[in-house]
Amino acid sequence: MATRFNPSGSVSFDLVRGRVDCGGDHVLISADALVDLCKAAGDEAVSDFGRRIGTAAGRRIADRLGDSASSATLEEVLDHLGGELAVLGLGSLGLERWGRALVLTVDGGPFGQQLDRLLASVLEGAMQRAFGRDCQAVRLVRDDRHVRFLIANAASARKVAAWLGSGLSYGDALTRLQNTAGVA
Amino acid sequence: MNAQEQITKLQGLLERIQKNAAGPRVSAQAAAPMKLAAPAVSPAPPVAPPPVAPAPAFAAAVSSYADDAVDDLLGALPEPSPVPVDIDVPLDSVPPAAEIAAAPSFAPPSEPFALVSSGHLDESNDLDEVSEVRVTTALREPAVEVTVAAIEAEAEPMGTEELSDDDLVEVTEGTPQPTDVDIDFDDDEQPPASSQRSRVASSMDEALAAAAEQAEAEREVPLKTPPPESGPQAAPLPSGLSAPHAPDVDALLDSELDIPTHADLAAAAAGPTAEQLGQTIDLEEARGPTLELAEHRIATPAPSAVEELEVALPPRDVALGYDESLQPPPEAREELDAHRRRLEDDIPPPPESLAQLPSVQPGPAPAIVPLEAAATGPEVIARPAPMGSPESFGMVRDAFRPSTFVELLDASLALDAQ
Repeated sequence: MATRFNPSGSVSFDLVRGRVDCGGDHVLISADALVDLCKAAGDEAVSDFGRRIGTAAGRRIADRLGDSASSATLEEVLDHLGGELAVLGLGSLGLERWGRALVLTVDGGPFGQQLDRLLASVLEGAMQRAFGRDCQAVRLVRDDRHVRFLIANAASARKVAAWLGSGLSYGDALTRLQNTAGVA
Repeated sequence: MNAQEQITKLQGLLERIQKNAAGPRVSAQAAAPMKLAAPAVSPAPPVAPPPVAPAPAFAAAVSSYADDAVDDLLGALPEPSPVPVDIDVPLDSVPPAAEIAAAPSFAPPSEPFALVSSGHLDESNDLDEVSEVRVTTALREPAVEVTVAAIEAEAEPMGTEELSDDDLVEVTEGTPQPTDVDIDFDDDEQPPASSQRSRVASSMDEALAAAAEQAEAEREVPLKTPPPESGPQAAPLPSGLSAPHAPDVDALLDSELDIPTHADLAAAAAGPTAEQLGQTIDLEEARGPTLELAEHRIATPAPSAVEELEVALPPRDVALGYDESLQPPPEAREELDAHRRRLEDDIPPPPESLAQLPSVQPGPAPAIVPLEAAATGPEVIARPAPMGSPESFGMVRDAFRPSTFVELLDASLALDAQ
């Protein structure tokens, strides 16, 4: 049985040396400055940047879970992954199961309606590094503070994105995804 | 002035001299040191003595001249008294001789006082200033010696100015006495013609007349126009106009009222009488041709010729129908089709006015137009239905219950939309 996420000592501030240690050297920067930087960098660079952040978080999760990572329950993974995102200041993580589909939610992110691509990349990197699965996070819907991401393979992600782009609601898209998968 | 008057004047003058000689006077011996000390007290350089330097010579000349002249003229006098020397010296400004001797180096801050005799004064100015009141002081006498020539020299111009002896007042030096001023109060002072002083009326009638004149003068409106900034003022009364006089009630009561009678009214209605009309002058008739005004004629437009603008009416059979081959305009085709359908289906037309409620519209109630067909009105956007149907998800949940996160992750990744 995996341990609960313990944030104690996850972040250390060395004020004498002027350094922040969070599993490596970190810097505290403002969210607005990061938004401006990511807008100027482009989608591909933002995706790479987010993946690197998620990979670091997934590595720390894997370090904590150890061999029990593959047997961790939904609650345990949500506890550790959510804890890492909270330490990074990226919002509150949630988990939904829509049939066979895994949906992760982020509530109260610092970027508002912007940089959802960055959050998706962070989740993708964490999944890949913590559980060894390549996946893609597709934004289903979002409002002012809440955003939902579908964790799917690359093909299904593109298909769902197309459905959403055609005006289909995210519920209908998930249903259609379940039906097509069942038919298949 | 005859000789007798001159003698009388000389005798009077002599008496005054003798009387003045008996009183305390400034002697020539007392004045001598002062005269000698004058250069010492004068700040002026010795090479340029002040104008008062000839004073000692003058004093000596006066002394010798007085002795000779008086003795010659008045030789009958038993005891010739020393002739006083009148020197116009202000006593309050001259220090005593002892003080001057004790303080020879004292220099007054101001100009040295001048030992000026009265002869240096301008008498003409005094004469010009005094017109009716003559004031003569001894201080302003040119010389204190009394001689006949001097008296005559002074008496001549006095005679020309018509001044009497009473006008002459002598004030001896050393005994300052109040100036005698002879003013003749007996003469009635008559104000000049230009004087505006009010005169005292001699009688009551004169006073009343003066008061009436003054009242009239006060009622006179000044011709000056008051300045605009002087504020509201009473409008001046126009000159020449006066308030209407009060009617004489007594005269009206005494006279008989002329009340018109019926006869007078009838006469007035008949017209004016010959006395009222006066002389009547008959005018001659106008000569020349008789002129008559022509009747005004209204210009009537000439009837215009009939123009050939008539259009031939269509035949009777065409006027009551239309060509079957005519096609409606393209924009009216749909409306025409809808009209035909309504006629076939017997559907009442929709209400034309939205201001009137359908319930009060005459005829049957209008049909409800579906939202899709409504051209106006809000577009209702339905809330998207929640994903799928509950049965389908329930069936899925029953079949799939992951125990680990990795199992769910693998199932989610296994979803293939292909």
